[in-house]
Amino acid sequence: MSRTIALLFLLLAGAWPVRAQFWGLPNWADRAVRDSATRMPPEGEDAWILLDQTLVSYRGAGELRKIHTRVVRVLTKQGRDEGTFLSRGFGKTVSKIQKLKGWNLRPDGSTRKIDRDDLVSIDADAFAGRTVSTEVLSAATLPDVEVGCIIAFESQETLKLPLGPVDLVFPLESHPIRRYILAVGVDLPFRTTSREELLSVRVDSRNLNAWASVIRQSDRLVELEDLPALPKDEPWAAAGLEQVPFVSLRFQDPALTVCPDLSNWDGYAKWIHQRYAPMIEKVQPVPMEGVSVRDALVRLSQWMRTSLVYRMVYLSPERGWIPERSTETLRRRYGDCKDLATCLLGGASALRLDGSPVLARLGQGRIPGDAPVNPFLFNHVIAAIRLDQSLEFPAEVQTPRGRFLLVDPTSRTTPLGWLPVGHRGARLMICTAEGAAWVEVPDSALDRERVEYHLEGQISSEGVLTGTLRILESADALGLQSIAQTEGAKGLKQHSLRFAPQALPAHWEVSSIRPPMRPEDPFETILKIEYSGARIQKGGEWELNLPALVRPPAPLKRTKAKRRFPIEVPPGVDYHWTASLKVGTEASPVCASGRLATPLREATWKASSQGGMLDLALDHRQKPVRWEIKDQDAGLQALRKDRSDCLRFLEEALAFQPGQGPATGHK
Amino acid sequence: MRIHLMASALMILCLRGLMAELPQIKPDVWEVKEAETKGFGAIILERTIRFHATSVEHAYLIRVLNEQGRNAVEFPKFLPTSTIEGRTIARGGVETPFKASSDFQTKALVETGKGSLNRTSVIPPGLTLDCVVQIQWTEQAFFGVAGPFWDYQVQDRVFSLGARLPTRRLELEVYDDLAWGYDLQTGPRGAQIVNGKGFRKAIFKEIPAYEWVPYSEESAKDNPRFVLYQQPRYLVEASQKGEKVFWEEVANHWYRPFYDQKIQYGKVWGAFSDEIRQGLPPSRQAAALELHRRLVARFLDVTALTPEELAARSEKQNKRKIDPRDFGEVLKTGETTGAGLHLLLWSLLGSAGIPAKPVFIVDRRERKLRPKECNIAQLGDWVLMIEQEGAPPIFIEPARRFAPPDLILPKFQGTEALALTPADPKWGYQVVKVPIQDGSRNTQVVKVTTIVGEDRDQIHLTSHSTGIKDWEERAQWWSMLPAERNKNLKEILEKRDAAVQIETATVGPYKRGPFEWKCDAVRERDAARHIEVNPFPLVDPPMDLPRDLPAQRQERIALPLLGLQEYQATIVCPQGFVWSGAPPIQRSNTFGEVSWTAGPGDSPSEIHVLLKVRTRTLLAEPSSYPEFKTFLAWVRESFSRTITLSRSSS
Repeated sequence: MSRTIALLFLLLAGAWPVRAQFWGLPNWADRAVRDSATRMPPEGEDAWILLDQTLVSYRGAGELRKIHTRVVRVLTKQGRDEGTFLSRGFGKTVSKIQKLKGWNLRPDGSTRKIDRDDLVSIDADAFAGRTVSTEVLSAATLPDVEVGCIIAFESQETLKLPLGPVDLVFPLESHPIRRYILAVGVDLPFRTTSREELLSVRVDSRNLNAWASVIRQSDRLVELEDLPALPKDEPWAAAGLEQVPFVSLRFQDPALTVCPDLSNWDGYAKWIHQRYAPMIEKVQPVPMEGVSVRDALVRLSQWMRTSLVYRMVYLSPERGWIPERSTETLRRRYGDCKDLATCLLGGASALRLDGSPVLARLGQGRIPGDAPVNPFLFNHVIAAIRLDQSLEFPAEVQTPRGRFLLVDPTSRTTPLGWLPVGHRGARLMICTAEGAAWVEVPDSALDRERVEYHLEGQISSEGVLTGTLRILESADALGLQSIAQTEGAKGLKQHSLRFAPQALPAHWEVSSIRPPMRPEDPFETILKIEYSGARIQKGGEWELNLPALVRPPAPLKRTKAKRRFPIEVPPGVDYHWTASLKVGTEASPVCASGRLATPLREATWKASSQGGMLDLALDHRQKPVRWEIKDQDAGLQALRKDRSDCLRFLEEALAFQPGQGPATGHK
Repeated sequence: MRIHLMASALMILCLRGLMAELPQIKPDVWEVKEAETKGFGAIILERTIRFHATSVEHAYLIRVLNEQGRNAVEFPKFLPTSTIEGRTIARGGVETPFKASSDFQTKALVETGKGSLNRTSVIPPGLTLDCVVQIQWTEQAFFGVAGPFWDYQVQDRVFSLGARLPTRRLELEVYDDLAWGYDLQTGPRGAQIVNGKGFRKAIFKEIPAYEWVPYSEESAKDNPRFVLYQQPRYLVEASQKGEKVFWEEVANHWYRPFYDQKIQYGKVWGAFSDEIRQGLPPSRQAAALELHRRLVARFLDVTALTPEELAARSEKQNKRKIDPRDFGEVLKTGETTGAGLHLLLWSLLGSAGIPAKPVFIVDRRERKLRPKECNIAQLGDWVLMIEQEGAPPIFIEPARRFAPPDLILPKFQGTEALALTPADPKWGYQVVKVPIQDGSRNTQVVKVTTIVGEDRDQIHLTSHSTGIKDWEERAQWWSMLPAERNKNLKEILEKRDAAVQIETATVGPYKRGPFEWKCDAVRERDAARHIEVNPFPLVDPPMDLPRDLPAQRQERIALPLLGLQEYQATIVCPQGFVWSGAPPIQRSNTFGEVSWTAGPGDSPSEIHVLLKVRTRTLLAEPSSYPEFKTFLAWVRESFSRTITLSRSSS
């Protein structure tokens, strides 16, 4: 008997530590930990998400319920951030966290817990500059989180978005995920006008294959295994919708008559048109009689660019999607992209021109041709003015639904008739009363970024340069024009200091600012400058150290990890630089002329010297180029060689020998 | 929902009811010239602040003259506010009143299960490039209640009267119903003071816009400030009798009990005290420092443990409550707190016949000590001052770990501090000067060896710090475990140079000796006509070098610390490359010395470079500005110098 008891005791004692390892976690979290117990944590990561599971249920009347469970193992001190539950909502009328529980299972076996009472909501605008919105950040932090802890959260949130039961989910996070699950369902309460048999549930995913090791998918489930962390430090990453994995969810409920029809793009476009139409009130803030339609539109656009400020103020959740009335935007003298587009269309309507809002996506990759219907693909609105005949603007597009002039009134420096370069390569959706008209932005529609620098002055024998630097900037290529507008000469000086070859120049002042008189004119500023170290002795040669020269690209770090994103280099600014410098002594350029041609850039250099004067000229243009993931090694090699070639080109261009002598050109 | 509607309705009623009360605007506002805005594009023509016991009223009249000015008109988010009204008037008379429904937003700034704190934003409508903005609001406040009878948590609020725009006229009114004390600092421009029935008013004119300037500090700006401070109830009477009575009361009844009362010595205190005081040096200051050294060797300050020390202890140990005044328990456990170390040292110094004075120091970056402002909240850290004939006083910070206790942090140097003078029957006080220490103990020596290759360089770098430099660097990594420190160092270094791959990075040893960190790295090199070598890669310059400095300066110049930064480089050149030399730099002015020399090393392929930057003026008047700019230019010039190796013609 005593042997039996001893044996039983040993068995229990042996089993106890295994059980106690995960004691204190709920069963679902326990399972997630056990499932990953045999695997090594990913190397070099701060945390490992063992499970991220979301069940999205439609509850009728436009309401979604999300039940989210998450289990994380903290691997380093930086990973302790996972001990904070964080959720961003649109305010109580739209989103609310109904339930929350959190567990922190510590390495010593003790457990800390929190619940909904520990939730703190903070005004999200506190971190958002001048934006005013209804957004709220809700957070709750588990105490005593340290390396080795297992963190678990379970939350339930209800959402009732103005656009209805729709969502766009991006699974990747800053930490790798062992198992990711997204499930959708319908859970209608007893009293509801919604009918389950009439509902349509769509789950569309894109780009999962490139990221997950295992994918299980059905019409209501997406399950992924071993998702890596979102890559960081990948220079020139083409990280848009054509690469990142995402899942679009939508519940189409005929009972929701105020929400958009998302069964196809036409349905959504018409809904947008219907919401904007009553807001497009006829306005005439500037006289438009007695001039041609073309000139009247130019006048309207010029007035809007100086008189209205681009600013995001959303006092209700709907304002994220529905614009202000034109008259109200004029009263306020500010508005966001939707408001400014609506105001412009209101002005166009005073010229008896119809118009439509245009949905766009800025800065996060173009919308693919096979994108699922989802409002969250867009983050910007511009305007399309319907034209019966061409006004001969570059930004006119012909579509099956008519001819339109595309205008982005949020750009202070882009004249009417062009689009700012942020729309390069974009697909835009014009929302007409008849439906959607998709257009691709042609390069010819884009405002052309160009910059010219003209340096005149002298370099003393001690290497001090004094002179003037004249900068001509088109399309706000360097941001100088907009800085001058909003921050004046002081702000312009601060921003122009980046052209100085070194910190603390003896003198660097803006001596004149000339805004463009006509749309095609550049913005001009002249700086009076003085600094030392303009001429540096290197062996038997000098090297000139001059302002505003093209900078060679930054070195690329060598990493063992393969890239996840293709390499995409956009076209750069047209760059033209000249210098006329008195050096007071004979000097001959090492290279009187030079040319640089790489897959990424083209540049030419000319230098001449006579009677103690140096005349120099540099033209440069960065070329667009792309390498797909399979060609990344070749791409990285090309980027490294481009840097080397660029450095060499500039070094030779700026090298001079004292005294006259033959100078050679080279390729 | 119902409460939300009622609140909105109340707000609208308030706004509607009071809209008509905005003062009339005089026609001469349209005569203001752009030059008066001093480059800001807008100017505050009139500003009023009225302090009551439970509210503060604000009013602004702002003239906007260009786009920059329009951009600058931004109001803070208001905490609980009872009324806000405003309007914009464009030239020509078009008036745009602020509307409750579209120009204001009230939202919870913070909300917990126990309640919420709301804030209101106002987004002024109708701003043009040539307009006037008028706004007034009342915010709730709680200056009507004196502090509790006995509470060491006193507080104050500092209102800096300079704004982001220049101010033509500011009226500040303080009403007599305030229970908090206040101090009006008018600055060098002064103010006109008017006493009214039930209030006092100060009128300021031509207050410049607040701008941040490199190497400056708030207290040196002499901007007008208004300080409201909560007075413990029992000190109110004393504060009304003047600064002498007040500070004596504070000395005797606020701070003295901490030193004199309720200390439980325990049974073994006497023996311990005798033993630890044995063999002390004869001089007072040396004895005090030795006593402190013995104390920290014996007792652990549990409030200043490193993460690895905390991790090595049990949870029970870490959560144990310690009473610093229970010396018996402290002696038993060997553990105390920072306040406990302070008390222990104080008591032992007393037993050794070494008079020590508690001194309360003020952070110079934020404020100056003003004894006539009877405000305890202005006092910052506390130290013990030991005086000795024939020597300047020393200030001991008993709780400072890993740094000599008599090092004064630079933010406290060059200030005035409040010293208590223990005496029987009554303690007194005096204002003492906290000296500027000469920086001889503050050093950082960086040694770099670079083996230069045609396509890559091997770099080995070590850094040793002492004094304040040591303390600052150690503080940077205090809260990390050793492995995390090394990883953090690697990340910091790799961020400084994208071409560098750090092979090893080590911080420490952490707990002893001068602070050290080191690394081994490889830096890729691109093909070039010459090989250009930065002698001091991966380290920050010896001083912060802003991109630019303003042409003129009104503020006093303040350096972060005094000391010596020394950089020693050994460059091993590849075969076939030569160096043609570079002239040395040897410069000196009142701010310090900069020297840069380079020459052949121990072997023909080596070059040695030595850069020294020593600073010797911590604080200087604006008249020294040209010299200061020159000094920074020397630092920039010498630190950015590179060594150019050219292919040998042979």
